Amino acid sequence: MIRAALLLLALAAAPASAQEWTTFNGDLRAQKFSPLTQITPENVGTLTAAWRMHTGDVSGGVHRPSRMHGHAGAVPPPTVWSATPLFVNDTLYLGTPFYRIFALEPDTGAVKWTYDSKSALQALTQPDLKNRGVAYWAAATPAAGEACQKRVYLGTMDATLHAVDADTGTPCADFGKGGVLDFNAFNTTDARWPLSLLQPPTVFEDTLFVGWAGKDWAEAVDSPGAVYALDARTGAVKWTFHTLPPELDGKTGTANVWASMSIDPERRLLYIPVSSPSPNFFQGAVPLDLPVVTSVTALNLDTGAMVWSRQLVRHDLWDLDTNSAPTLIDLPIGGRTVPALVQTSKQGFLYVLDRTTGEPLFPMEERPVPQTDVPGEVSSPTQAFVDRPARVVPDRWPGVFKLADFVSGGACSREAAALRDEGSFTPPSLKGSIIYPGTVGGTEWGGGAVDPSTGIYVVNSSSVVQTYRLIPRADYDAAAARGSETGGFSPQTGAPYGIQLETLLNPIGMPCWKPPYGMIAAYDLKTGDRLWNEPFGQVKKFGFYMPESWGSPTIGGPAITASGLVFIGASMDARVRALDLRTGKVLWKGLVGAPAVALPAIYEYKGRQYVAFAAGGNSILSPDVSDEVVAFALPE
Amino acid sequence: MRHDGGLLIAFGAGLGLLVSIWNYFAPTALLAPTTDISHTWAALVAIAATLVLFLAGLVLGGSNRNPALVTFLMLGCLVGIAGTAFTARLIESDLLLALMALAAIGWVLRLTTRRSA
Repeated sequence: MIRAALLLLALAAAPASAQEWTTFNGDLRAQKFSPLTQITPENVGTLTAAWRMHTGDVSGGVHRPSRMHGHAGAVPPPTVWSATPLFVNDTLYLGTPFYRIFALEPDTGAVKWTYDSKSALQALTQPDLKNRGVAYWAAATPAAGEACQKRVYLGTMDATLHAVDADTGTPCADFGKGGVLDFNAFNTTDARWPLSLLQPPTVFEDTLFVGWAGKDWAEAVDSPGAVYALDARTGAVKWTFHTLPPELDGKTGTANVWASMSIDPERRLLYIPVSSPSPNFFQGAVPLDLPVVTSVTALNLDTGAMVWSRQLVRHDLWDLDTNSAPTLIDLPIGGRTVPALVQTSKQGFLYVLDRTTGEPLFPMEERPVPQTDVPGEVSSPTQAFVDRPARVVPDRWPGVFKLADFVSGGACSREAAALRDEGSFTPPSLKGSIIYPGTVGGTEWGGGAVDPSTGIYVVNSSSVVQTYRLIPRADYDAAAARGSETGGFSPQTGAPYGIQLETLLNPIGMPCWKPPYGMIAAYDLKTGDRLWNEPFGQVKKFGFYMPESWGSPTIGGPAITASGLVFIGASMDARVRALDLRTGKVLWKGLVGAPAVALPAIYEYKGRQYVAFAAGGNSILSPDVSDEVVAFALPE
Repeated sequence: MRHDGGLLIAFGAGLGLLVSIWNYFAPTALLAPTTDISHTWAALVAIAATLVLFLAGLVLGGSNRNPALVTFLMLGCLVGIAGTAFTARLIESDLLLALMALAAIGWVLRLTTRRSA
């Protein structure tokens, strides 16, 4: 009975056209679920590349210029390509890190048309050129014979939003100015950097919901966070939601929404993952009880009014931005159907909340946490902990890896012993602190995926130990003046401290902590039970593949099919994989051009099921980059 | 006068050298369609190791009677075969791993049998 009810709910939640993949997360509920069943656990082993294509939009940066091809002139910064391909309108749409749109034939990869935003290829707010794809809109009642009744939207790092006709790639003249909206026109307070549009808008009915990315590790004061609701036809602002109160202008900034969002159409709620205020690692100028920041927040999507906000980290000293769209699902709990959401996090907790109220469905407990000893800083006396569902990473860092310690003559042990280490939420310090999980740990922006008919939720995670060391301003500036500012140093200009943020590696580059470095787990959301938890991915270094039992840090997320498969790239080894949803065992691997740090798209076209990945790479994981799109299918 | 064991080391290492050269230049490792080690240090290590093993195998398979050199090469080959097999495991080249097993058989033969005419 319950299963039947769930199935009905699942069908109701499925995309309008079940074979499509219409948004960054597959659908508005961010379920990353496909009802397709052609590819099964039994036949997935025969999966093969139906087609591969290269956009030409790739750069290894000045250190790897050979990785760039097809473009003359100066070598652009490295590319990070995390686009989910969209399959809609019988076309596969992709944005690229050179800020172009590609419209491809879904069964061959042949190019239908391209659009070039002519955006400057400059890393204005990020260390790399980044793109996470495009968004799609179609008029509910299209005007016959008129262009731009279906549109594709692309944002750029230099803060322009482009709208083009989905059939031809021609700019839509009625949007912004000649098809281009100057998003930086909204950047009127404490503007230091462009409001970079790296994440495609979330689209519902005739509205685009748009957040932006900033540079909150560089400056203490930055543009204050905001989400904009824009008219899909004209780009006109319908409403704006500000995450920070105006009295904090000139004191902090960001708390922006740089990741994807999700929507509950029935309740007309927009769910936004809100990041931390600037600067990332010193919050001395930020009130201790500031709400909304580092939260998941629900807005009325018609008015922008806040309905509820659940803060996940209090007074965030660690850059634990809420970084993915919450997944929406209806769960049978306690004899009733509960409209729930699941929010993943860098800190590794899975927050399962009632999405109408924001109240937790499993206990959240405030527990005392270590306190800062940095002059001028304060820390929250408690943080919220969740024991069920089980945290995706251990509560404490896994300890020194003896092999890494041995080959480095004890360097790992010595460094770890010299650092402040008091478990979860150990604050940054002047002598350096072990932060676990840190800003690249836990679950990244890919979030998790759910089978709505069973409530089984799958999520990948990274186990990465980082060290945070605050450096007094005078010392930092002196070091920077001597030219020794390298790698993990960020100035936090305007704050009394700069920061040195490093991954805890030995001198030859091995992780100092015990593997596994990455896991993938399945949870039953009805009970909170963890069903399985397996090392996931492989680290590839200098061409050597480390053991599978070590896993890999991951960026990107999974997608689930109704046939019981999990498709995921995300690993450092440039392989994409299919897992058995029941066990987590790898059933199939495919090789792609670089780590597929993106969500896959699962679609059906002319009776054939495809799983498409953009394999772009991410410099956080590996210097390997690519411009390859690959669609896998069963042999014809 | 030749040593079959030494020649077997050279045979296994020579084929391993060809496999490693393929692995370095081809987009996927030989017989491993989901392994890409092209233009990596790992593939170069395999090329260098199999080349040295190949040359050492040729010397051990020939008529050299210098016991010190033979001992040195036998010890070197033992380390080389083990190291190359470990490398093969890390680059996920089962074919190279099998060829190192062949070379190991040659090493044992070279150690335990007399030379043939």
